[in-house]
Amino acid sequence: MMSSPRGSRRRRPVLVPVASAVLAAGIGVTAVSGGFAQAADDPPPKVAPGKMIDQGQFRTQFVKAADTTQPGTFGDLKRYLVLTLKVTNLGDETTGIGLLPEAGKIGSMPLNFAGSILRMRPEIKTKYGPEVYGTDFGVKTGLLQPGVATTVLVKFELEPTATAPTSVTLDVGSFVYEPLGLRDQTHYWQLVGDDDDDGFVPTVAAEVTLPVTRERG
Amino acid sequence: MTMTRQEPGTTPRQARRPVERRSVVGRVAAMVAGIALAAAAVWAQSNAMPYEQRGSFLTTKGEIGRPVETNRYTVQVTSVTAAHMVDTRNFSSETVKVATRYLFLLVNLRATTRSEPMQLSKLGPPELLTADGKRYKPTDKVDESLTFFAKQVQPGLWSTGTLVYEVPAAAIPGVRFVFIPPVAAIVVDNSAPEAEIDLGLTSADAARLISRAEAYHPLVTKTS
Repeated sequence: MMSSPRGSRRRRPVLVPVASAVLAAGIGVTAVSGGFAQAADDPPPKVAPGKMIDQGQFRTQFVKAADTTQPGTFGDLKRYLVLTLKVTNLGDETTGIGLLPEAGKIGSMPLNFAGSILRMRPEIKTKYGPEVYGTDFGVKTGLLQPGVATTVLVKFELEPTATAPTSVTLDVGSFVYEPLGLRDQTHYWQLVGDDDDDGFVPTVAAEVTLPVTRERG
Repeated sequence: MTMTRQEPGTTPRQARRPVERRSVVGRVAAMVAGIALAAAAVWAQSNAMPYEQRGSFLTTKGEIGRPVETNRYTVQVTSVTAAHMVDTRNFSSETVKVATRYLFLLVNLRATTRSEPMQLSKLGPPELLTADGKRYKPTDKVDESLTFFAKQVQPGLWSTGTLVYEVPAAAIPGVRFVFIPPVAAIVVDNSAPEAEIDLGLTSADAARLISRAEAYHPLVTKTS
């Protein structure tokens, strides 16, 4: 057996106790300050009806919500809960209006406007989901042209006997114009949020509560 | 063979040549050359094409009134008009009027192809490109059956039609029309040629076009 070449005097093991002390202190401080669990986010800013919301790609006003009767596709009167929005496309390209996303199936790249309406409370269940379209002088459109303000309607069909909620609260997301990744560096408008293994969780940029007015004859 | 035979042990020592000392001038020259090469590399990188341009179409430029010839088709913008109200068709195929709070810019064009027939695609339609880089797709307020979307473009035959765009008045000065050929949605043919046609709308011409915008421009002739 070879003896230690660096002298036979045994050194005091300083490093290990000091490192353990530092580690213990770190764990203690972390535990006292609430652990590694994510700190509670600030609640999203509440926005009053009719106020401008900056969504990055769009500037949006949630004007009103109404319980009303309107002629349906075939001209017969139907009862709807209609949300009226005013949307201006601030991007450089024509964008579609799209459809509201299904709950729990929100992607980071909806490639349309309606994908940024993340959630509505109370949820209104309809057979085919709400209709979403732009309207101007009575003509429907599915496109938002750059620099053009469009009135967008979100229409939930209600049963004639259903009770409409007194108010609806909407969670609205916002977009950033960023390259998709390192390999595909094409810029897209993408929803702000956390993308981890569990899927994409969008960040709520604004919360709007609209009182539902009755506009029925 | 003894002549060429080398004594073992001498070979490695002989192969290891004494390090050749460069002159001061040589060293400076090498350093300068190195810095120049590095600088050239940085300069070349700064001139690299932006990512989004690498996959874009090959653009042929032209101007209004002149046919723009590419290797697949020839397209010509014959005239441009502005209107506050145009025609559309509803689900019952009735012609109805459609108005806008902005402006309808109507691009009248004719086109023919070289060898294969083509029809414009709604997914990649011709666009308007404004002076500040905004891109407008044709409006969906006007039914496709009344526009150039409904036209077949065939070799040897000129097809004539209109594309209708909805734009704010501020977008009109310096606007260009980009004729994008129909391509598949998923596998995009990057070597397809697009034609970028300057509509010749200087600020004075644009102001005249806007102030003289027609109140109503029919897209359907009464007799048909």
